[in-house]
Amino acid sequence: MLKAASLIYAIFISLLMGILCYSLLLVYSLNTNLNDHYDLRNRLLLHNQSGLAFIAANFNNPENLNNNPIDHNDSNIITYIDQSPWGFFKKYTISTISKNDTVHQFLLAANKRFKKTPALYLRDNDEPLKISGKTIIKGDVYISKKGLKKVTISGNNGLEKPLHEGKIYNSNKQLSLPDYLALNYPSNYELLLLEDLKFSSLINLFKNKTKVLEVESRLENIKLKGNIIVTSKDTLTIYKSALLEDIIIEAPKVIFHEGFEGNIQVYASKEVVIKSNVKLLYPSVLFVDSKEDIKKSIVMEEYSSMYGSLVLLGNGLASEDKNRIIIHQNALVYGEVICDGKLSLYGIVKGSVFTSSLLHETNVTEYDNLLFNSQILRNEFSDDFFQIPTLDDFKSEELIFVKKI
Amino acid sequence: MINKVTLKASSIMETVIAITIITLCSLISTMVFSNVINQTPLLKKYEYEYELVELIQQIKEEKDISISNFKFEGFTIEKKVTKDPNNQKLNKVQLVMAIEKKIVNYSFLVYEENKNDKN
Repeated sequence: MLKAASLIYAIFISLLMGILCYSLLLVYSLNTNLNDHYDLRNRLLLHNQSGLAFIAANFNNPENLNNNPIDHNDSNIITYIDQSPWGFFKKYTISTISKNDTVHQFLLAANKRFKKTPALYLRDNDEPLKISGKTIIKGDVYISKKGLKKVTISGNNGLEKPLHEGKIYNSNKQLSLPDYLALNYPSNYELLLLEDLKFSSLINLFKNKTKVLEVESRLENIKLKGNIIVTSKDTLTIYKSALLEDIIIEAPKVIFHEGFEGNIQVYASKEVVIKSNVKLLYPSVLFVDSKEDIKKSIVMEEYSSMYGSLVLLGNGLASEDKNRIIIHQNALVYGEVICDGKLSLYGIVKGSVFTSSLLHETNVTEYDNLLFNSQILRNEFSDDFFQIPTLDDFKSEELIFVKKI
Repeated sequence: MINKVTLKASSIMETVIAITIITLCSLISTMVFSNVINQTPLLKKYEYEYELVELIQQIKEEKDISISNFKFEGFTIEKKVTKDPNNQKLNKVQLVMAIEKKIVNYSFLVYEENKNDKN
């Protein structure tokens, strides 16, 4: 028997309709929440990006950065900026906070390259700058009052004409360089031994505590990236199989083995050797300096390249003969070379050279203040590049963001 | 022989109540549906947002800190600029826009590099 029950059917239908309406309301509220979420995310990102403008505006007043949060008067969003050194760069952390949501951004920044940087700055050592062979200098030069001379040296056929395009200015008797620059370690770090690593890869984000990794004499078959300082008390050889990115290396002597590629900052007290076919990518810094008055050198072998700064500091004129930078034929530096000693340039520098003196060596003799078959091409150097603010006369007050980390 | 099926009829009262319940439910669900449909962001909102993102990008790239209004089809974006009292090169840019009955306000900072800087 079929029972007619219109009331039960009505209740059943109304229940169905209720469920439908409730799901419609749920979808609607989800849609609204999603819209709010995306809107808040856009605002957080927009305000976080404003941190970049705030850093650029207060680059020369760092005390304004750490103490003053940026209040945007907008939905209780506040941005905090933290600044700390990372080798030669400044590390900025931009944190934008709104209730439970936070957006972080980590950046490396440095002084922007000074626009009027010359191609060559040679300390006034009372001798003329001599150029010979296929030497090309494109850009202004600062040299002694004796000027620039085009010469022919023995063994050179004299058919090649050296070229200089740009103005000539007088240089000072001394390079205005700092006495000593040491690597600043963070106040709080974690010390590790290479043997303690469980995996062949160590990636440490910049929001974490710095890891200081002590190694013996070799770095190979390993990947190191981020907030890591590698130290060695001996000569450290870095092989092709080591993948290094953004890290700092501190050792008395560092040798980059053939075929290595990576971007790093090196603090050495004695020597840095870059073997052939090594590529040091942007932004890299090779720095040699010591408190002791010892022999120091940087050697770039053939077909090696470096995108960044090559800096060797000495003790002024007293130790000029002990300090050498040698850039061999077909080696390329895209950036700056600063040498408080003798520079032997046989390769190409696309950027600027600051040196106390120049030295050209052949199998039989040595020539002071001579550039032979070398190139310094200031015009092929981008304006958007960082500089190591070591030279007071050519120091930029502007900031450039070097890399997002 | 024809099978006789006995169908017990609902009472008139029961039927009236049932019809009332169904009518009420239909009414409520129609109201809910129309409200939800009306309050869901219009396609126009996405158009506003697109234009706003483009405008922010343009201001940041060109470092354009002039005060102006931007007219689009059906809406206007008002641009206000105030200089930071501590640093004249730092500008706070505010973009104010009316979407339906709601005022939307976006603010961000623009650093104005001096083109004649010795650097």
